[in-house]
Amino acid sequence: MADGTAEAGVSRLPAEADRASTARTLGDRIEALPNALRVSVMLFFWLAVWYGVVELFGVSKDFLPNPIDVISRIVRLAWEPVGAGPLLTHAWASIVRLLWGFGAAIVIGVPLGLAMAYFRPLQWIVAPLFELFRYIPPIAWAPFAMFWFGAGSSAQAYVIFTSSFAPILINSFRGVQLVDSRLIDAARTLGAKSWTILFEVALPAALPHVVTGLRIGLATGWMALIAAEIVAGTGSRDGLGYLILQGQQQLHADLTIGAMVLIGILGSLIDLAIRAVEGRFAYWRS
Amino acid sequence: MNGSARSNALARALFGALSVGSLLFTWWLVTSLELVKPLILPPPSDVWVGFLDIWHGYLNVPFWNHFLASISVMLGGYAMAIAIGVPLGIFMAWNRAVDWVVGPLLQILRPIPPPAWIPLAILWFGIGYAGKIFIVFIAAAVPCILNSYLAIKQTPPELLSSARSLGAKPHTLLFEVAIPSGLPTIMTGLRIALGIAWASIVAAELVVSLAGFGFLIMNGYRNLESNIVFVGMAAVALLGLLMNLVFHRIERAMLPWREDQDNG
Repeated sequence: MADGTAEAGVSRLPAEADRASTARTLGDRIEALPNALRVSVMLFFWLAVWYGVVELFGVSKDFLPNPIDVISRIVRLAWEPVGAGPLLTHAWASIVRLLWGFGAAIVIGVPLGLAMAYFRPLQWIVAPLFELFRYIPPIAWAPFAMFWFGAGSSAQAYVIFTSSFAPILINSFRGVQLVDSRLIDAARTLGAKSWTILFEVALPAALPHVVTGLRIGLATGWMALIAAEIVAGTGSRDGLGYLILQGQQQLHADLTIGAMVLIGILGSLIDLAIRAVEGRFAYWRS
Repeated sequence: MNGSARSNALARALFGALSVGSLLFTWWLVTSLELVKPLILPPPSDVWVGFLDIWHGYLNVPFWNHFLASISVMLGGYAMAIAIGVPLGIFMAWNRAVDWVVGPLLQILRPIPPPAWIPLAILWFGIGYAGKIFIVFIAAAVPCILNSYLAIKQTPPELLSSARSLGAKPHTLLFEVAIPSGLPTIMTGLRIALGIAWASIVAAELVVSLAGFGFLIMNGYRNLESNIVFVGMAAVALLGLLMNLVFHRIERAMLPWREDQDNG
């Protein structure tokens, strides 16, 4: 977990640094190694532990396959179809659903959040409704989504929408609310009209918060997507969540675990991408 | 100033009552005029019938069985996540060797969404309570570990060095400086974990279960009884709200020095 962000606290105290320069222990030498090397060695170690446990205790393949089985299953998934098709079909189906639900949440959540901060009556109208629905876990919407849209992609996209919507709305709202009021006063003193203030002062200042909301919304949406594909996936025969479920129903644990790994990797990539976007928007907010 | 604040509060209450009231009225109107089918949106009277049905034992399962099934499994997994996650996070932050060994494993497991574990949990532990406790544990442990880790790592260095210069031993530094100073961050992690744990147990029960609120919701779906689904969702939301309120009380009692600065 040593990703450099939280290093400032315990381990980098001056006293320790002094000690390190006089007597280099084994720990200090390991610390001096590149992060990537340390992490890869440890991951290899954990894979070896996994392999060792499976082989040593003769664990059944249906229960817990060894890592080589899982990796070879992932590789075979590239061309061997399961359900609707091979890996790309499923990954693509999941991403399209995610984008539908997430897109709808942006289209409704961002303008509504901004407007709520700008027109107080709207805030008074929407906030109680929002509180009313807030404690319903997104996945609990799945049955109604299936009543409304049928058990397929639209129902899954709706579940993603309910999951992404709240963080996007809240962060857009907060973004405008937290705009430094001196900025607005200054613009007003200089004779700016309220539309100018909205589009040239408030919105640019709120933008980093909005983008943070999008990042959180995408992450919660991804989580909801997998849940929706497992719970509400009966109608569609594609998606990464479908792969997990297929593995369980056919007692192919290698497929289930392989799909979990793929979901983790794809989720991390999506998160990395949007963090890069977020970094670009946040550059003036030192 | 005071007067305008009061009239603001009044307007807020008025608008709030108006919006919730008109939502309820619209619900009543469109269902009683039969503009939408009861399957799409059950009328209030059906929801009341569904509530009584569940209260008196829907499908011959008493209401309290559902309540106990969901709550006990969820609290069991949550307690396990706290008992293992918080010490692990603290230990990782305090001892770099532990961080090197455990950190990469957690980094790999963390991006896997909790619901993705449901089929594996069924495969490993069957459809009973053990599998659901496992899912709740997996889901809730992540924020427990992460926030405890951050809490210790973010101890202000000047606190540590001044305690050290006063002759504090390492375990005094940990237990009397780092942990108390990080307690708010740890509690935030526990609060996040609470919400995730509750959502996870509902998701797990939706996939497979013999009792619990997720069971109610899913059975309502299978029997095309949207009013049962509605009541199940409302119960889940209400309990989620109640647990959050209880947690807030506990948090305030544990962190009396912190003024009510809510950070989400």
